[in-house]
Amino acid sequence: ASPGASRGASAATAAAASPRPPQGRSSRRDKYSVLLPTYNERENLPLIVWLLVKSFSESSINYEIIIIDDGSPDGTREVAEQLEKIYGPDRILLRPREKKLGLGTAYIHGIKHATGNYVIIMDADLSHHPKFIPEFIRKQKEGNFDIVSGTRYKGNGGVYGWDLKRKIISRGANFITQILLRPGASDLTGSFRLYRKEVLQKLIEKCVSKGYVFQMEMIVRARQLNYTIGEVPISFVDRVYGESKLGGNEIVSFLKGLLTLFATT
Amino acid sequence: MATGTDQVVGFGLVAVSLIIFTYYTTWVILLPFIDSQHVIHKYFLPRAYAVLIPLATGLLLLLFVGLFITYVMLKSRRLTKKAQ
Repeated sequence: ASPGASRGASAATAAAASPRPPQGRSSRRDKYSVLLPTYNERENLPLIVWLLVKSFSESSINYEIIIIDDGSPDGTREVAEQLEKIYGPDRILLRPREKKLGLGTAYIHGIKHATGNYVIIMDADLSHHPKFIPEFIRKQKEGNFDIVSGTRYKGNGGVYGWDLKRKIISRGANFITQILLRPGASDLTGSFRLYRKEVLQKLIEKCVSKGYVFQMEMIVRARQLNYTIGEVPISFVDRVYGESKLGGNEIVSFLKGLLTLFATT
Repeated sequence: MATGTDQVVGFGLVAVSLIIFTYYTTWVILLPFIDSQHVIHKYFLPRAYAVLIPLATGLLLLLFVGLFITYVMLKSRRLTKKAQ
């Protein structure tokens, strides 16, 4: 199943963009839904949830955490069920799926159950720290942005735990992308972002690619649909356990996706 | 974040590119205006190379990228065939 199953949506609706709520609205009514797609994150899940709850309750933000587990064999789901009991089913929502179906569909699945008017997507493997979320929210309010994206390439942003080769490839890929697509955002492949719910919904409908290119396509399409993008510097910490893959195959499929986007936007 | 060696390599890359930039600029833009008997000409190759060297490097780079992509694609095709 591809995230672009309903790609046929007419381009005319795109021009309408998002109906922006009036700026002066009481911030207490805003609710933030965090989508956490997980696969074998048994150890990380309690930590990330605890950190999320901590940073939300410290800045008294209304929130919910939606855990979308893709049938992990390591029992992530049982851990999530216990967390649901601890923090309450209005805070932690468990919406598992039977098998691994991919990130795009996980987001679609999560949005269906999200009750907040903003959606935050992040990785559950602790590479994204929830302490940045209040900054995302502040940034969003400051400019009334449709999307706030975490960036590793600006201000205090950065990467921990990558070797030189990986850094150079990442920089190179980012450089080529900036030149070819002129996306108006400095970090395209990052996946720590805050969206207005309806914006995310519309973007996912439009996106067809997978893997690294998926996050990139979201930003590029957002630019195409005239959504506004704000940026917050984040520090990204590479997963301590488990290898994150970057080989020839990833590079070639990234280039392919890049050229497809270049040709179609 | 930026560990010691990474930072050294980064500054090294910046330094090398700055050196190349200034050397090439003098070679191509300043030298034509300097008297041909001047000693400075000893430090530069004939002007034809100012075009040939970058052209050759570009071609080599393109060739390398092409080879890399073909290699990766062939390998992944072989792997999928084996899987079937």
